[in-house]
Amino acid sequence: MFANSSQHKYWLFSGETELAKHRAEANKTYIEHYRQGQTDEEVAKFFLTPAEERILGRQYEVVLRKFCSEFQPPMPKCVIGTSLAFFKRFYVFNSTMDYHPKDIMLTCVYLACKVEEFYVPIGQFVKNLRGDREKFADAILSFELTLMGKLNYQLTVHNPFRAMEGFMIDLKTRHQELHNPEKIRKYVEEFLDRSLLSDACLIFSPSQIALAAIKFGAAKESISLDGYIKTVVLRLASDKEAENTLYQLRRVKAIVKSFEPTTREQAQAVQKKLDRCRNQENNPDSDIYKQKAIDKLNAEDDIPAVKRTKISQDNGS
Amino acid sequence: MDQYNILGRIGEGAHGIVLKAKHIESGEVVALKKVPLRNHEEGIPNTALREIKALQEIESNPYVVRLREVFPHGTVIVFVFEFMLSDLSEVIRKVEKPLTEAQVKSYMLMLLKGIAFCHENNIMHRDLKPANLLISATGHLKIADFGLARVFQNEGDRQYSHQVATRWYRAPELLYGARKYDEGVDMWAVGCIFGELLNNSPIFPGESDIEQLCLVIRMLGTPNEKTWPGMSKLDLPDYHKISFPDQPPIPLEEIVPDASEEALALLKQFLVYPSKQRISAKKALLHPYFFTEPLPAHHSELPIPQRSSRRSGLQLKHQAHEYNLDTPIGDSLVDPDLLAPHVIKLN
Repeated sequence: MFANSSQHKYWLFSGETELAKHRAEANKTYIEHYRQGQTDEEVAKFFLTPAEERILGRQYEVVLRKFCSEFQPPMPKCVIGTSLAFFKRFYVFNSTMDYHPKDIMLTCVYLACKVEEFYVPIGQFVKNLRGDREKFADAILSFELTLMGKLNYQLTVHNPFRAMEGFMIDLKTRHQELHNPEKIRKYVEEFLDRSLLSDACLIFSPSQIALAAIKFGAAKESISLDGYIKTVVLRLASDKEAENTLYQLRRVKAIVKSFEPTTREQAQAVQKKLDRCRNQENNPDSDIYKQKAIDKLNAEDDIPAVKRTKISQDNGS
Repeated sequence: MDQYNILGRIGEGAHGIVLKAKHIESGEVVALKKVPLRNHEEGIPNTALREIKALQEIESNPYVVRLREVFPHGTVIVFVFEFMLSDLSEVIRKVEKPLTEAQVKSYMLMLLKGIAFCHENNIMHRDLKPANLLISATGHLKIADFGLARVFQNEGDRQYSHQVATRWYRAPELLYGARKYDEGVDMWAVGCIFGELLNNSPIFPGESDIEQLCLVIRMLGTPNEKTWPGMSKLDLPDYHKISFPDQPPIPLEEIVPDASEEALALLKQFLVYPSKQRISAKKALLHPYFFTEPLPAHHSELPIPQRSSRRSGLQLKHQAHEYNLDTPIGDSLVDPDLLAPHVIKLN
């Protein structure tokens, strides 16, 4: 049930304004922590601004989707949806300077494969990457726990794909005026695909996104489904609720349509800046990161082992 | 981890050790399940992930063990659960007198409420067995170990592994290697647990997968189109690998001789071949069994065995508040005269 899911409870935000606020806070927290007495002017030059972080985030969402669509073996849509949802959720409360999106992106996809029960062994997973595959595998595995933690271990994602199929079936059974609903499918799916690159999944329920996809997909075929939505889907809703739903559908459309791709130049400039201001402690290539990994391994056999033996002695006496 | 004081070791599961600990801040006693990630080339094990996934989505329910939090510790992932004193398999093994009908009803009621809740939340447990039904210090039963739990979708095309559920509690379709199944596998397991509570011993204690199937078939009779409609159309990969001579079912009355009429009537509705025909948890809760005398026992009337690793010292503490009905009440009261000199009289 979506209504009592963790997604509904913790991962839906009121709108772009609220999201921007959280992202700006994450940006500020990072800068405050690492500025070391730099003046505001120096800060602006050295660190990423919230706007620059968004450019980077959006660019990696495009990269992520491309990686998923070319992935071998081909992955179900829900894995793509869940990967992107993880990625977006992660950067609501974290700065791209703290965790580089290229690491988090791959970890999101790897974790989403597991969560959606689309099992791909890590060895096979990294075959989809060019470069030092072993290094990629290490990075993915080392960020997996961090990612899960930052997602508050809330790993179930409700994607709009099933809701969309539900509406398609509903159209066939309860709206027979539309003779061949399959002809709108192409546009409906296009809409959902575009929605993946927007913040829609952080603002709307999957059924709202799916219904918007149906409505505006049909509109592309010059079919109006307003009658169906008002008299069939919202048959039991009050006027006010119906009006609100229609308003939400328009909002979904506006947010999905507002997506603008970033240009290569824009992204490159930000990336360059990021190379200097990123947190080296979370950079798998840095010395400080490697040292941390070693310390962690050493620290892991912890106190309980000692205490346990003590207890068994007590019992024996 | 610094927030917990380790008190001892509870046990070792397939996926890591379980420790008893005290949350320093709240004083609450908890169970820490440590799932190691080292040696896992694939990062976080799937079982751990499924458990997190399932438990994070369900709101708290009195009959499902509560996950307080999850956190990484070095390369170990730690699940913090409420601490539970015992489990149902221990209850069955340890009780001196067989469970009364009222007690069995009480356990079944709690089990079914927990399962109904899971199924309503689209979670099939897939590994129900007495050892996974924990018993709290107040005698309450709570479902635990969601390591095999799957969030299910009633789409019908999803394939699952058939290597789930501990053998004795494994539904016939799983024994035949089915990859498509539903929450009916849990209801079969509930039937097996019910039978075990009534008999005080497992009803299908197969030593091997083949023997398991034999035991089930011996009781339910060889499946045919009548007892398992549409079975030939089901995808049961192992069905043709083995065939059994036609034999009639054994009446349940012979297998669970001491059970009441209502108990048998309900048990029969769990232990049927077609998964869809097994009674749902929600419906089972309305069965006359629960509304006929003797009524389900109050949780305070249920046995609470101690963990076998616990020694006398700890047990004594727990018994400190037990009342003995035979001692006159005056003996346990403080003599008012002794207190008199210390009482400050107002006015």
